[in-house]
Amino acid sequence: MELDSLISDFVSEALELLQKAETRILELEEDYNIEKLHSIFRAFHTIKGNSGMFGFHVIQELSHKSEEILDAVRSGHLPYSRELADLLLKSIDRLKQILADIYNEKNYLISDLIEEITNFAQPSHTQTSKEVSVREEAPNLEILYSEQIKLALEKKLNLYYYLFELLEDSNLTLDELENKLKLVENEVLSRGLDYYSIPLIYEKKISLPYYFLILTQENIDAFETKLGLKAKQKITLHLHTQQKTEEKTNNITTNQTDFLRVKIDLLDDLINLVGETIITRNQLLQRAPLWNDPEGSSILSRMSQLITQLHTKIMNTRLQELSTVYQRISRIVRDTSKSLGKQVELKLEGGEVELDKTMIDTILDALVHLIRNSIDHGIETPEERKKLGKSQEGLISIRASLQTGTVRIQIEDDGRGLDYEKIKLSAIKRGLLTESRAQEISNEELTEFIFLPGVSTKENITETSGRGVGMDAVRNGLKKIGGTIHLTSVTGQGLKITATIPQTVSVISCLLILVNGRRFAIFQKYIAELLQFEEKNYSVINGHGMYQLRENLIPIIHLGKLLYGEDIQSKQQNSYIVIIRLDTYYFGLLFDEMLGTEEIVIKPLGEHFKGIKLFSGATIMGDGEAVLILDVFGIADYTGIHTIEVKTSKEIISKTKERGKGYVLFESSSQYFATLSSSIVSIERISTQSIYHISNIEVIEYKNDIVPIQRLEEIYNIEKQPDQKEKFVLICKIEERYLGILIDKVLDVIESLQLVPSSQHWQGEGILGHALYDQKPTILVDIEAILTKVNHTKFKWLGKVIEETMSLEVK
Amino acid sequence: MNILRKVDEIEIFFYEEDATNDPQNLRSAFEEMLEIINLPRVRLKFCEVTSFRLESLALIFSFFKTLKQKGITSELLVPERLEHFLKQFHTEKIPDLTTKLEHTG
Repeated sequence: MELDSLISDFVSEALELLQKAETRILELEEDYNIEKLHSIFRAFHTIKGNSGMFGFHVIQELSHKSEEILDAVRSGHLPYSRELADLLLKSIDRLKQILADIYNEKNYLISDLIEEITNFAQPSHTQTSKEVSVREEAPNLEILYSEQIKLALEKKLNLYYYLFELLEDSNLTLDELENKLKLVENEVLSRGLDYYSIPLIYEKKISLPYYFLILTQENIDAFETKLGLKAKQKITLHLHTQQKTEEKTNNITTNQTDFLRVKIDLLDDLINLVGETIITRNQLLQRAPLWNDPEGSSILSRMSQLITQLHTKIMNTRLQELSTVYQRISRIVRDTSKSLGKQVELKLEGGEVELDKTMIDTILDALVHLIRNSIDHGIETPEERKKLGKSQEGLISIRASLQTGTVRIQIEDDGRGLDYEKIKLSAIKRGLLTESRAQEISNEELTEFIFLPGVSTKENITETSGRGVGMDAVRNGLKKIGGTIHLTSVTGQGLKITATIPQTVSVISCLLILVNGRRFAIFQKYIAELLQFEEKNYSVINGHGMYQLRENLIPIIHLGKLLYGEDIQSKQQNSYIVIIRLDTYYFGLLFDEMLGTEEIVIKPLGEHFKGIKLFSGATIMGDGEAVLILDVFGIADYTGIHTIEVKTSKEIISKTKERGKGYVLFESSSQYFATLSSSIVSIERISTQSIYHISNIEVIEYKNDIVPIQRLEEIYNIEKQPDQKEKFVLICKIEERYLGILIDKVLDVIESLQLVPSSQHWQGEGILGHALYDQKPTILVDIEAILTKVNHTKFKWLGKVIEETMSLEVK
Repeated sequence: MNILRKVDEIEIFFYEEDATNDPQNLRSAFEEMLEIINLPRVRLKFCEVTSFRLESLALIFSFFKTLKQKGITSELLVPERLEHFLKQFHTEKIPDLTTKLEHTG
């Protein structure tokens, strides 16, 4: 084996050992266990030995120093403390940094860290420090309670040490604790004031630490639950099943023969090859019926099954446990909470769930963002939490589960939740939301703004977060691997984030369609429904195609036009619509022909396609033709269908009900409109000749007043039709001034309307929603909102112009 | 609190008001004392003490621990009626702290 290859093996093994050591260090903070300490020691010891063999003396020296300080702890000469953990983590970080640049190893300076470790190991360190924390002398327990540990070994029971804080403000009195202990009296081995945990008088925080030793069969958390009290600290002094657990956790040294280190590149090559094999198999399967060879077909069928099995096995080689991500997360929670002065408990579930390596990398980035946000924005400071009646320690839990090829990850915290007012202000500031829209927007819709670039609720940009670039990056990262993300927040109680991602990406079920004679693929998972196009359900509103599907109006994207610039009207008959469901909204893609579904092997697109949003990849079909995979998110972005939740009819109805009963239905340039009758003062029939112009603004005379009028065509981008001789004006009173809306004719005045939900894409300013009148799509207009805006912008100068005109006439 | 400096030890007389008043004052008093103590033994005597603030008790133990760090031995003289209360903390197990039962008040 070449030296480079040996060095590469050394680096990857050392990184793995350091990662394990880091995990153990973090675990020790939660549950002190001497075996974990030995495990960290062994990791540094192995790195020291191996690095010496290759002549990497800088790594050797630093790992030796780290090992030395751990040995002092093991022998009871130095207490294990958070400060020591910080130092060990610093050492691990530095070693990782050097390992990543192994050929420059000699150029790395470690003297600062060596000095720090040396100073820390001085006996005077613990003698003189005025900031010894409660945890610092914990390891003395191993020596202090050695007799009890022996007893636990003999009796084959678990021995736990629990520590409580007895002070007036800790809501736990000695009597209460004693009463609780009576319930588990038989399991209490000893109790009393923990002298070693008493802080020195110079320390800011004074506490009265009360401990007890428990000899039990139960596990540490179950016992705490049974006791019904939350301990400040809990330490496992002896675990009866320890041997088994250690065998599992220390597979670094014991299980070497079960694992073989394989390069990722090699696995990727294997995956590519098996992908090619699947394509070739598909080609064979397509041609087999032509050969009329039943025996050959049977062999081919068997081979096909074997190839499928082979593919599954090879894909499994890339699977990694989510626990590798959890290790990193634990460290991030520790460091971030410390730097922000917050107390955070992290609960992790589902570490055994396996994901493709690509997914692991993406989910790690996403989780890092989300967790940092959670600690920075969500979890309050201990003082704030105390005032709010919450426990001083915030809780972040991450739960992962596998559901038929999809991994669901939930991140939940008990912090302050989303501040909707701040999101609103940030969105208005960024021009993403108008003030009038902000008044009626729902919290769920506001949540979506979090995912837009630049929207942040953080007033100050910190090292951790606040630039508003995180959440959109998180969603885009997840989208790229076919994932989704959803947020639910209860102000003051916390935030729950649910992310779903496919377990692997390489082979995916797709719908194959034909557009303009070419095949395209769409991921099956985004498809909600497939329909045959019917002319009667199709209409064009504001120049956009809309399709009436049961009680919904769905925006339609004509793929022929989008991909080939075809004329929309030419091929709609005998076409199909696939309804795409993304996050919280729907849209339809209109195509020519449906070819069926197929398992396809995804191939990445070349550099030239990077700028094109419409395709997410390609595949080679059985007949050898390359087919592009449509990126439904990209299409939605490209065509401007925003990711805002669809309003339900109920919401619109309740909104309109608040503002008055009855609707006036009217028509303008062949488009149907409706508005609340309460918005209208009167409806005037006018001759088009009675429309005058003042400074390019159309006006009419009404009750001896000059009333400016607005055409809806200008607002809703409707093609204006020639004016008839006679028209109507809806007169409204806005801010003590009459204003009018010019329409062609009034259709009806009715009590209620059949409202239909529609995409946010069609809910611009001044649109309350959509309805069906006489089976025709009808825009429900918010006339007051339109005229208020027009009054402030377009008609702003009109008063002045009229005044000037009148003064001229007088002259 | 009264402090009596003897040839080889310091005796602190600790009263009910010291045990029940603002613990901050007690902390300052102990801190000042630690600056000036240069004798090898300290005896703290409870006088007419019937109840405690837990913070005050925590400060006394912290004071004793800090004394130990400075190599000074300490002794706690406890009236009979506080005996049960202190026993719950197993003060007899505290290294280098002698707890004596005395009819001090």
